[in-house]
Formats: sequence, structure tokens, C-alpha cells
Amino acid sequence: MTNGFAFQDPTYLVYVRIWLGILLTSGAILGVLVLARRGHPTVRSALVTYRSWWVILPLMALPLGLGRPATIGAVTLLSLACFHEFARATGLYRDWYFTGAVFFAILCLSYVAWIRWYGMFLVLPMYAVALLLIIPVLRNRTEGMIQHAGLSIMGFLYFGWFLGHLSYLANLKYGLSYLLFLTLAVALNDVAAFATGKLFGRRALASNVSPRKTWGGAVGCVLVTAVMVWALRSMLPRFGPMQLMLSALIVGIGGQLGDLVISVVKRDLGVKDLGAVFPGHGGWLDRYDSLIFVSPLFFHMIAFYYERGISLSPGG
Amino acid sequence: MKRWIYTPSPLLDKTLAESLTTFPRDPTLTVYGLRLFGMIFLRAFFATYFRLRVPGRERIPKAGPFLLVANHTSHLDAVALACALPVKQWHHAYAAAAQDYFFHGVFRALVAVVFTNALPFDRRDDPKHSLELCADLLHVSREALIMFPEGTRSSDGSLQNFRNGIGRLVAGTSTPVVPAYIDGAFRAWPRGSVVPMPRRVTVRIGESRRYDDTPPTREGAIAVAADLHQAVLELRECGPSS
Repeated sequence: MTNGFAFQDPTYLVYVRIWLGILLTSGAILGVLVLARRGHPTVRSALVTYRSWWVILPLMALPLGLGRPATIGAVTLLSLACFHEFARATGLYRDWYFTGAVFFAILCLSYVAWIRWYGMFLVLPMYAVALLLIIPVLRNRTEGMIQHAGLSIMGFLYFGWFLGHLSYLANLKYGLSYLLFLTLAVALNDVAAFATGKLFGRRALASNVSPRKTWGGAVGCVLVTAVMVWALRSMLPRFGPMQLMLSALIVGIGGQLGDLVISVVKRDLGVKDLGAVFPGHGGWLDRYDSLIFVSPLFFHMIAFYYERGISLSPGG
Repeated sequence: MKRWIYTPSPLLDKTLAESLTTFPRDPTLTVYGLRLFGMIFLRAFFATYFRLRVPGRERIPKAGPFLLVANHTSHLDAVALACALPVKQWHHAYAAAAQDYFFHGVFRALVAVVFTNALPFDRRDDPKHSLELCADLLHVSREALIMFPEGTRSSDGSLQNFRNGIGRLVAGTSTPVVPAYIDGAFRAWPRGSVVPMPRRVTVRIGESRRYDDTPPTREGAIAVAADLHQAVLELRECGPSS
């Protein structure tokens, strides 16, 4: 991915057309449903969710079109927003030392991704954990510090470092194609998981975590995602059958696992949604839960096959 | 083994617009940081563009609770007063802002909350409740409150009558009330004008006063309002006429 604009990039234009096609088609279907069953609660909630997609799409498409700096900036803001939401939900946000340290670590991670320092990108979690663990020592406090340090470490690793792989993906030669693929595939996978969960299966996957997730739905979702990945194969440079299969598995399984991971957090905290940024979706974490889990897996699959020669030094 | 105790934010499922209007607010590091950077920028801007001067700055109490009362001619007023406060007090000074104006759109509310720590004051439908919020802020949380007792911006730059609410808030309490006169803000950015002009703005701070002896009655409130009106008028007279 380059620092310049990508609005003219053929791959970018194809993905924009796909997105618009999907949104307009589903909008038309929804419009018919609204006319046929006006006032039905499911239709009404679907309409609210649908409207939010028109906000989410430009939020993702614009930075990708603006090039590498904007993309890394957007991923940073997304990481900060996700962590902020997590901190608000757990109560960690009241401890400004830990929240500030995680914010700082996330900014450092983005800077490291920006200067393409791969070695530091991989090692940064060590420094972050060290920083977070010495905070209680410097403050000379012990009360509740394991909880705050623990939540902060989870917050940085999961919302900062995991998502930060999207920034590093932007550094790769074909980063734009990969990022465009990933955002679309994960979003469609979410929709597929929702739809197949409603249609198939009875046996719950993890009944305590999410009663709606079923084995039948999960398998159906992976199959739908596999078909979608196969359909997008011409826009994934260098990918052979093996990489396509792995991508399908990573997005299909990883996406649903990411959803369940955030479900565990929500269940333990006893909250329904983690925010109210996107009506019908919830907060940032409710929308991007699957992307968080998928990003590092997808990145390291690519790194394993195509980026073995990546330099650990800055600018590599 | 000790269990972890989670205390989620009470505003978790609120939208941005809703959480901005909620008061007392739930302070977060993000807003604190934004305000800090915003105020540093605004302070530099006021010092250079409006050549802000604050004679009598030392009369502002070092810590809350206190009430800062001034004339109101421009949107610059609340920020000018916030710039007159020491850095330490930025996050502890709240400007009472008209709910029907400042909390109407999300963007306006965000600017008001970040820069002036705005307290949504419902001057139309439920001023009594808003006055209670202000009283809690002063007497329970012991913070500083910025108020414009005229109730709205003056359209010609003159000083209008003070509303009685200010008297109800402080009559019979020991809260220090600091009168201030903002000079030049009307020339810089009057009501209805789009772009602020580079005119000198001066904030004159008066001696603080208390109203412990005034009875907390209607008459007492009127007397307090009249006394503060007089104090602000005197501050206007004592400066160079311009």
C-alpha cells in the first residue's frame, strides 16, 4: 500500500462497487419488506441496523482510499475507541494511570507500524506489559492493582496489538487488496453468521456464552464464507488454493470466535451492548469484534507465505 | 480469593448526545486530554488574537467552591473566563450553558463540554432543577461555577438586569461570589456575527463577596441579584472607557 490516494485503484473501485451493490440490493429488499409489513418489530430493527451500515462503510472506505497514513491513523483510532469502550464497560476507565498507559502504548504501536519496524512491532507487547506492571510500583499502591493491570494488559494485547496488525498489513505491497478483502469478508461473515444461525441448527455451540450460536449455523457460515472467498479470488494477488482455503477458515471460524470472545466479556459484565455508537449494532466493539480476532491470524498467514524475508529493522 | 468487581460506566448504553447532556458528568481521560490540549490552544489564541488581559486575577480563589459571575455579550465570554482561571482549575470550573442552545446539536454540545465544561442549564422548562444541579455542584462537589445571570447574550453590549436565580443559589450560603466584567468581547464577536474580529478583550475581576447574612427568601434573592449587578457595573466603570 502506498502513501498516495487509492481512489483510482482498480481493486478499490471493484470493492466500492461490491459494497454499494450489496447495500443497495439489501436496501431494496428491505424497502419491499417495509412496504409489505410496515411496523413489524423485526423489520424496524433491521432498518435501524441497515442505516448504520451507510455510516460504517465510508468510515472504512475513506481511510483506505486516502492511502497508508490515513489507514494507520484510522486503525489507531479504532484501537483507541475499542479499548476505551472496554475500559468503560469494566470500570477500568476510572483509573487514569492505566488507561493513559494503554493509550500511550497503542500510539507507540502505531508509530512503530508507521516506520515499518517489524521487530519492535512483534516485541512491543513485552514493553507494554512491563510498563503496565510497574505502574502500581511507581504509585506505591496494591489495592485492586492485579485487576487493573490484568484488564489493561488484555486491553492492550487484544484491542491494541491484535488490531494493530491491520496497520502493519497496510505496509505490505498488496496491503490495500488485503485490507479491502478483509473488511468486506469479515462484514459478510458477520451477516452470514447471523443468517445461518437463525436458519439452521439446534445444538448450541456455547450455550452459556451466546444462546443464539449453533453448530449448524457455524458450519453453514464457514461454507458461505468459503464460497465468498472463492468468488473474490481474482482480487487476492499471489493467493493459491491453499491460501484461499486458509483465508476462508480464518475469516469463517475466526470471525465467529471473535464474536464469542466479546460475548464472554459482555456476559461476565452483565451488559447487553458495549456502546451506542451505531444504532442497531451497538458500540465499536459490537461491530468490530470479529475483525479484531481475524486481523493477526490473516496477517501472519500472509507473512508466513509471502513475507519471510521481512526485515526486523526500522524501515524494513 | 477476592473477586474482581466491575463497575461499568453508568453511561455505557447512552449515545454521545445523551451522555453529553447527562450531569453530573462521568469524567474520562479522553475528555480531560481533549480539554487540556484545547484550552492550551485557546489560551494561546486569546493571548495573541484578542490580547486578553485579566486585571485582578489574584482575586480568584485558589480552590472551589466559588461562583464566577459576569456580563454576557458574546460566545467568547465563557472561554475568556476559563482562560482567566489558573490551569489547575480548568477541569473544576463549569460554565452554566443554555440547554436549549448549546445542547441542541451533538457538535455544539461537544465543543461546549470539551472547552468550557458546560453544565446544561434548562432556562425554559425546568430552571428550578437546573439551579439544584448548580447548588449541588457548589455545595456538595465544591467545584467552581461560571454563570451569566443576565440569562442570555446582550444584543447591544449593554448590561441587562440579573435574574433572581443567581440570588436563590447563593443567598444564605457562605459560597464566595466573584464578579467579573468582560470588556471588548462584544466588539470582537457580537451576537449574529460570523467571524470573530481581533479586538482587545479584558476580563476585570472584582473582590469576592459572600451572602451568609442574606435570608434565602425571594426578597433576599432579588437583593443579591441587584448587589451583583451593581458590582459588575462598578467593574465596567473602573476600566478605561472604550
